[in-house]
Amino acid sequence: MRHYEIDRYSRTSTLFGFDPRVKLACVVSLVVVTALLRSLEAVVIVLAFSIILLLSSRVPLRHVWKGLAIALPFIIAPPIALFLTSGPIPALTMAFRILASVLILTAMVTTTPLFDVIKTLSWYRMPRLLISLIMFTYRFIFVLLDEMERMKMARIARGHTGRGSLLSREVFRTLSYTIGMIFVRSHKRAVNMYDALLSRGYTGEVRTGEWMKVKGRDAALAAIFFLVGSLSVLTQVGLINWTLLV
Amino acid sequence: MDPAVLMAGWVLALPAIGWAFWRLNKTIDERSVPLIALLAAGLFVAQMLNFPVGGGVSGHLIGAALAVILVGLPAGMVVMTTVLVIQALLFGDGGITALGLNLLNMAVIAPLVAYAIMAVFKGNKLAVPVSAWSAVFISSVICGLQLGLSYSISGGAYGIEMAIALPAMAGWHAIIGIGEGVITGGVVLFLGKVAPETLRMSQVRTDKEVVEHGA
Repeated sequence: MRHYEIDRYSRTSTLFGFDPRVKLACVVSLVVVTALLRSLEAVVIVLAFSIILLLSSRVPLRHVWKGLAIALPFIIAPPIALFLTSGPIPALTMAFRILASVLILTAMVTTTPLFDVIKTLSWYRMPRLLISLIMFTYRFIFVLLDEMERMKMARIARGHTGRGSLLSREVFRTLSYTIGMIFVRSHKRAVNMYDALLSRGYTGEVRTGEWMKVKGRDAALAAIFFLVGSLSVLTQVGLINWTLLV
Repeated sequence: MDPAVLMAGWVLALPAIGWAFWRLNKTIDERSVPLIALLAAGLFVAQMLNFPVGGGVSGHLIGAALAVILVGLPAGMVVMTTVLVIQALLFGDGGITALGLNLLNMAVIAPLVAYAIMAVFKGNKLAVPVSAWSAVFISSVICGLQLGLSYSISGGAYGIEMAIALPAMAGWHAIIGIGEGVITGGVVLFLGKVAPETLRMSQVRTDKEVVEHGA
């Protein structure tokens, strides 16, 4: 698979060894706190922390950028609109707030193998149906991409050029039929994969040998997240005034 | 988004999604798991193609109508939930706090609209594209309202002003919805011809299928 691999750097990162349950709890709480921040200074603290976190994770920046590029429209577009109606400071605050949340989440996502995220979710009592659907969906995304690639190749082999106006009926017919055919072919493969699992005794539950354990450094990580969160909240409510300190 | 609006999103979305999971858990047929997951995978790939539209909002295809037509309302809602959770947690796209509102718009409102329209226009040739268009359009209008509401509640710290957000969301999604409607209609027509077994478990049947299965 030549596609964007979310797990590529997850095992080599310095953040890999931490307990994923602690990581998820830390990240979610910090993102929630960030969503409540309104002052620029408070948001800057979180943003700075998210950047330090990413840099210390030793995940190559190129890889981070690839993930970030997908979310880029969400980071850039809303602040531009806010800039026009509320002025530069709220717009900058909003841009930093979104960027900080995305970066923290990226740090977590890129340094945790997918399977650990799923195990963590089931530890947090997410519905079993959702967990198994997430696993199958993730697997089938690559089946679909693979089938799409084949259909593209087959179309090119038959002289398809991809030219045509978006207004013509033929274009939409080709598009719908291609999507339909990819769907049918992938469905066959998906059913086969599912049957293969069933024949090996799959009941909808995933059991693994190794289990996660909270260690001292996990507590340290949680403490750091807590510190950053409280610093930004204190700044927000005005108990710490950075203009005086600087 | 204003924290109050975010909270409201979670409060409204969770019971509805809880219902969908409960309902699907009771009625699910083991054979349909791969189909449901495949749909979620397909919609995930389709939603990756999001593009910024004017006024600070971005648009993408949703696919809720397709999911509802292929696997029924509860399963359709579950499919959308799966897609959104994967986007938020595994790819860091879409945000965790905004997940409540995203769930409300795309996993609750859009499938409900699609389902309602399919039920009302049962047997009509245009039911599929119309329900896909309405699902996109109505959920985008509601999203525009949420952005506008956030702006006015927070006094300009969050969200986008209503006068910009609403026309930008509604206007562009009216156009995106046409694309979504035509594609959904074409895909359903094609599947009815080539692989009717994928349509069989839908609760709202298409006319094509009624003819083929004689019921």
